[in-house]
Amino acid sequence: MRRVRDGLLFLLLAAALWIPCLRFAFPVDPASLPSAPGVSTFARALANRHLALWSDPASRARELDRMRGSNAEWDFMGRTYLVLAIVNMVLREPALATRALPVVDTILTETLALEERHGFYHFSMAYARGAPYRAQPPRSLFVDGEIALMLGARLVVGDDGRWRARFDERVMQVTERLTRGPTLCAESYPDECWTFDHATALAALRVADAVFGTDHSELCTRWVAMARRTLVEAKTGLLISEFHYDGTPLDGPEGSSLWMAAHALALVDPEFAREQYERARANLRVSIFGFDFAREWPAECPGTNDIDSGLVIPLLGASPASSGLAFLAASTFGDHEFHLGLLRSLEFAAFPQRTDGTLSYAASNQVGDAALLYSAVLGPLWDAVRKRSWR
Amino acid sequence: MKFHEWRRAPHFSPAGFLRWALFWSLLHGALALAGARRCTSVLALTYPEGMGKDLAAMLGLGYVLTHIVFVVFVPTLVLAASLWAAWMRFRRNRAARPEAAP
Repeated sequence: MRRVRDGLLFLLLAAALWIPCLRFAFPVDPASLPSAPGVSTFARALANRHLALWSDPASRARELDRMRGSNAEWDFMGRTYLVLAIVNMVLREPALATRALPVVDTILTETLALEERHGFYHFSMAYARGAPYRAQPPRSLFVDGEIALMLGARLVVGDDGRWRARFDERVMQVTERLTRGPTLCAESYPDECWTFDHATALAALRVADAVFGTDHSELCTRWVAMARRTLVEAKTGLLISEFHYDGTPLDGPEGSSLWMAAHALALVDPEFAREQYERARANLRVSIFGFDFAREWPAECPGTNDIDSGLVIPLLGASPASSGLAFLAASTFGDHEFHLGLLRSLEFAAFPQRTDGTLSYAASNQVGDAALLYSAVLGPLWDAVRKRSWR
Repeated sequence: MKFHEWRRAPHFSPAGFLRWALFWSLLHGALALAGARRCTSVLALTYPEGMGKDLAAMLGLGYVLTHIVFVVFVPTLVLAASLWAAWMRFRRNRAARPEAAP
């Protein structure tokens, strides 16, 4: 008995000495943060992997098929994040344009061709075909908003005449769907609207204003006012993640939606976006001895994990999807402390794979790595849009 | 300490702690050699090619578990064993010291 007691005491003493030092075993470089000028070594290594993937159709097909096996949306979102990342990299370092912009053009060409051939359903989960859409003919704001954002971002770094008309057409479709809906909302799935998709679509409208000199400020202002009124959960003050076409809530606030919504809304209504970020940080961030991660659901509004959450780690409640997208928000709002904590957790628990100047994470997938790359370089695109348009 | 003594040492003893540390290290190493690291993509609900989902999940989650143990608990066990052994030696030496003459 005494032996067990002594053993437990020494284990406790050793844990008290070792665990606070663990952070030093996983050092992170503040130069990896996007506030540093240029493109960091970290971002470059992540980008090399994606650029190689998009130059090799066979590897790309394998990688995308792996994701599509679980969720076709990830194939699509991986494209969006990569395009946004590359555009930001080019804005940071114009010399990269020669190598990187052809990849953006390839992604856009292929994505539009796939959509044309199979419809937006190609990038949706199977239940998109399970019921009729309330608004006819069916369209997905998820697909329209992200395609618009990709096209707009591409046009910010140059216009070779291929994308302007496509962007204009997509912006009109987004605007038409939003204004047609009973609550300034459009469906992504049958009778299912997502805050994530609305924030992305509004950011695309803002980019359109910068590119075309149009003005969607009134629509954006009305949407934010509607969101404050009907899409904010009472206990936490956070935006809910999904709702019916008539605005009835379907789910509470969800990390994998909120972080991206805050990031995109930073372009639409910076004050509201920061408020949402601060609330999400207070409700979802977990920090243990310098290691940070994000939960999917606030403690006050628990929800059911789904494909969007990733595999949530029991006891800790760490959600890979929420933590991955938290990088975007921490980066957008210059939250270095949270960002460095997230990077440390990434080194600890996502298993980096460094080969031939490329970096990927074994515990992630293409969309996760692309979002991470985007978080490492974002800033210049939003800045360029802000300078050129209405606010 | 001879190998067979070390092998038979109680779980709650410096040698027992080192034995557990070795066990977890070997298990983690074995999973790494078996290629389980690439299966950790199951955390992102993405499965490696050419492998059943159940096997991938088992290997991936096993790798994550042993990784956490290897990084957090193995050093703790080694440190605890070292501190405990040092403490036992200190007490033994003190007990063996002859009584000071009056």
